[in-house]
Amino acid sequence: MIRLENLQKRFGRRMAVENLSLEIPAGALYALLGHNGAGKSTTIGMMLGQVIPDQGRVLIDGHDVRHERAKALDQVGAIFETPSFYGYLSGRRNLEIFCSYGRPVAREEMDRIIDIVRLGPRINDPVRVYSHGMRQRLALAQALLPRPRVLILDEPSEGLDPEGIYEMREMIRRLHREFQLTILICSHLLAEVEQICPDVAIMRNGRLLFHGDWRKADPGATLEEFYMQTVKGIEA
Amino acid sequence: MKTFAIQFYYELLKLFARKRTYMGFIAFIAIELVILLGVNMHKRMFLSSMEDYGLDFSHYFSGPTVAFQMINYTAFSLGSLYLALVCGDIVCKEVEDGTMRMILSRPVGRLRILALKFLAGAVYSWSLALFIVLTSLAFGVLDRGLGPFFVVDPFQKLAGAFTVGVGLDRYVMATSALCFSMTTLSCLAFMFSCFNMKPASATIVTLSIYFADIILYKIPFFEDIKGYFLSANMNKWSQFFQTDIPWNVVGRSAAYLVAFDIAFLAIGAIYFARRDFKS
Repeated sequence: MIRLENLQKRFGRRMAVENLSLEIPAGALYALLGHNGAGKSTTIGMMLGQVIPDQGRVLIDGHDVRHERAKALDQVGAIFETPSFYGYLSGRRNLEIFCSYGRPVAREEMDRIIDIVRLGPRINDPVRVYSHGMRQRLALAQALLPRPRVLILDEPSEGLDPEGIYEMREMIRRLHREFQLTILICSHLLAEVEQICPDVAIMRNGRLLFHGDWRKADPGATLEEFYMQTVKGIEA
Repeated sequence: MKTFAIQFYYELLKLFARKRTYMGFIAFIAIELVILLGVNMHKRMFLSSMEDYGLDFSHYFSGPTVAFQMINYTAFSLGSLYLALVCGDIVCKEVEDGTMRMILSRPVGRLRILALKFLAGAVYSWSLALFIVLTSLAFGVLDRGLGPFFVVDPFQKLAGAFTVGVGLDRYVMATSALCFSMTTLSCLAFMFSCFNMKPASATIVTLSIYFADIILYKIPFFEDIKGYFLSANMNKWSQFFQTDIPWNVVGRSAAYLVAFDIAFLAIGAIYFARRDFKS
C-alpha cells in the first residue's frame, strides 16, 4: 500500500533521512518510532508530498506522490502533531474547507463522521473555543472525510490528557477494525504504540534500524526494552 | 471547473471572514472624511487653480473634484499598507498557522493552491480599489453635489475639466486602471508571502520596497530612469483624467505593470513549488 524507495533528505548539512526503504502492506497498523529529530516527521512529510526528497520516491497504492500527487493522496487522510484550523470559523466550515481540496463529500457523510468523532453538539462552534482534545478529534474527522484507505497519524496523542489518550487509542483500533484502514502512526510514546501496533519501524538519526513485528523479534521484551536494545545495539 | 469554483468560494470565505480584512475599508472611510473636511477648509487652493485654466469655480468645483483629491491622496499611500498586510499574509500566515500542511495533505497541486490564493488576494485589492472610488464619490457628491468637475495634480502634470457624462466615463476607466495598478502591489506582497518568512516580514519587505521606490522616483537624480519605477507606472491611473487621454503613456505603463506582475508571480510560484513544509 505504502512503499518508500531509497528516500533521502538533507536539510543543509544535516542528513534528516538516509536511504530509507520500507513497505507497509494494505490493512497494516504500523508505527514509526524514533527520538526527536530521528526523521519521522520528515518521512511523513515526504509521504504526503510536503517535503521534496533529494532522492528516492514514495508510492501510495502504486502512485508516485511527487508526480501523481492527486491520485496518490486521493485516498489518504492525515493528522499532525498540532492540528491547525481556522479558529474564527466553525468546526463544520473547517471540515468543508479541507474537504473542498479532495473528492466531494455529502453532508450526510460529514454528519456521520462528526458523530464518529463525537463532535456533534459543538461542530458549529468556532474552533478557537475548542479544547486540544476536540481539535484532535476534528483533525481526525477531516482525515476520515475523504473516506481514506490510508491514515497517517503524526503524534496523535501528543498533548492529550489520559482520557483523551484512551479515546484516541480506542478510536484508532475501531477505525482499523471497522474500516480496514492502513494506519501509520508516528510517535515517541512507546507504551501507547505497544498497545496498538504489532509492526514498527525504528529510526535513529535518519536511518532505519528495524522494521517488522517487534514481538517476533524479541518475544519476551516490552516495546520499550526492544526499542532500547535496538538503538543501543547500533550505538555499540 | 466546478471544483475550482468551490475552492475559490472557500478561499474568499477564509479571507473575508477575518476581521482584519476590513481594517482597510474602515481606515479609508475615516481618512476620506478628514480629507473632505480639509478640502472644504482650503477651497481657495482650487479657486486659484481653476482660475489659471479660465474655469468658473462655482460651476466646476463639484463632488467628483473632491472625490479625485481623496482618491489621489490615499489610494496608494494608505492602500499599499492594507494590500501589503492582506496579500503579504495570504500564503505565509497559513504556513505559519500550520493550515497549509493540512491543505497539502490533500490531493491538490501546489500551483492550484497558489492560483486560488492569488485570485482571492486580487479580489481583495479590486474590492478595496472599488470601495475607495465609490466612497470618495459618494462623500464628494453628498458634500458638493454631482456636476461638471475639474481635476488637478501638478505632480502628475494633470489638469482636466469634464461634463458629468464624460467625467463619469473617465471615472470608470480610471477605476479599472486603479484596480489594475493595485494588483501589482498585491503581486509583490504575494511573492514575498510565498517565501519562507513570517507574515509580518512579508508585509514589511513589501512596504519597504514600495516606499523605497517612491522615494527614488521623487529624487531628481533618477529622472532618466523614472519610467521604470513601480510607483511611476502605478500612478498612471490618473492619466485617464487628462483632457486627451495619453494612450501611449497609459499603454506603456500597463505593459510594464503586466511584466512586473508576471515576474513577481513566477518567482513566488517557483519558490513555493520547490519548498519544503515542515512543522
